[in-house]
Amino acid sequence: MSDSINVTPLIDVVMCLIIFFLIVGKLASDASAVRLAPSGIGRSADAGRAVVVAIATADSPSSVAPSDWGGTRARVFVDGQPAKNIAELESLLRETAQRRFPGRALAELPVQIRADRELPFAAIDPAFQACSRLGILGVNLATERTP
Amino acid sequence: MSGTPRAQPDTTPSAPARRAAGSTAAHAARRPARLRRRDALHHHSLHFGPNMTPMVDVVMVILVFFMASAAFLGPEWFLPSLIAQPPAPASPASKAATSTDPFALAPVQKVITLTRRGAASPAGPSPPFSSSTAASAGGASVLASIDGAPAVPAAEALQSITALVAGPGGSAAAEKLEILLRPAGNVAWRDVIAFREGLKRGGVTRVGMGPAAADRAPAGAPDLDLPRR
Repeated sequence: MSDSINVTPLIDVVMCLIIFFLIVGKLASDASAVRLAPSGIGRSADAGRAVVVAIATADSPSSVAPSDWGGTRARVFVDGQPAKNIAELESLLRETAQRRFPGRALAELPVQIRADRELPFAAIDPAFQACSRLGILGVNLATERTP
Repeated sequence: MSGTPRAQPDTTPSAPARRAAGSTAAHAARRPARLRRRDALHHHSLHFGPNMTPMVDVVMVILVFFMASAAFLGPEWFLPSLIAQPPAPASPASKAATSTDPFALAPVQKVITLTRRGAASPAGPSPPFSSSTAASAGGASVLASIDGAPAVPAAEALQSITALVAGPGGSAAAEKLEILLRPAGNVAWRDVIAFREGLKRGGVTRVGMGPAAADRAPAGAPDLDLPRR
């Protein structure tokens, strides 16, 4: 028998804990998730390295009260923080950019738009307007991968 | 199975006498200098090699970890889109900066307005427009107008845009072609994504999203610019 400490059970337990929290985190984020529009083409992007603007319908499971967006009741989040109008959306985008990407110009800010497929464009247009006013040059539109 | 030679049981009649006489010397000759460990694990390792169980355990957990990670990261695509900006005031300095290459062609910008057929009603259940089946189904629920032209089914608009970048020299044309997409406010987001997907399939790389167009009237001349690279 070896005299060194057997770290196999430690690795085993730690990896199980990582998987557990990965699944729990995914399920928790799904609570405010949106039903993405399908797309059969696109590119992969690192979701964790972008400011996520999520636009969900009013009937999506969330404790946040929906507000009026272009005549449609919807919920808008910037990295999980709710916004009630386009002014709040702009300020949240600016604050999130300064917090997560300090020193980076707003024009180069990576932004991801995650909108529910059933929403009319009028509810999503304020997100593009806010990006345009802030000088953000491009966004990634999240879609559901279909074969 | 070659191990340490072991004493065979002696069955001759004189065995007890010989065992009594030479037992001490024979036993001393067979005994090693150290006491031999006789636990089961050591015995197992001598005959079957190292214990693979912990390694297999860890490898299986890592395998499950990467499978779970791939399942979470996999099911999404991202369609890059530019954001339309208000046109910057033209100055001599900016003109000089943008015209360094005398042979560069000016980008061809087209504004496509998406409207719903029967647009007077608000967005509701409608057959979804799918770019992949646009040629057969027609995508008749969504109409598209290119540069203020009369609106046509979205599938036809996609075909006409795709024709611009098809054929010889298509890649150069695709680089110069810019599409500004202006959906009406009542067009469902899934239809916008389907049209955007169709443009990407057709080879158009520079697509921008503009502000919502009016529900009925197609947009006129472009009043917005896409960001330059």
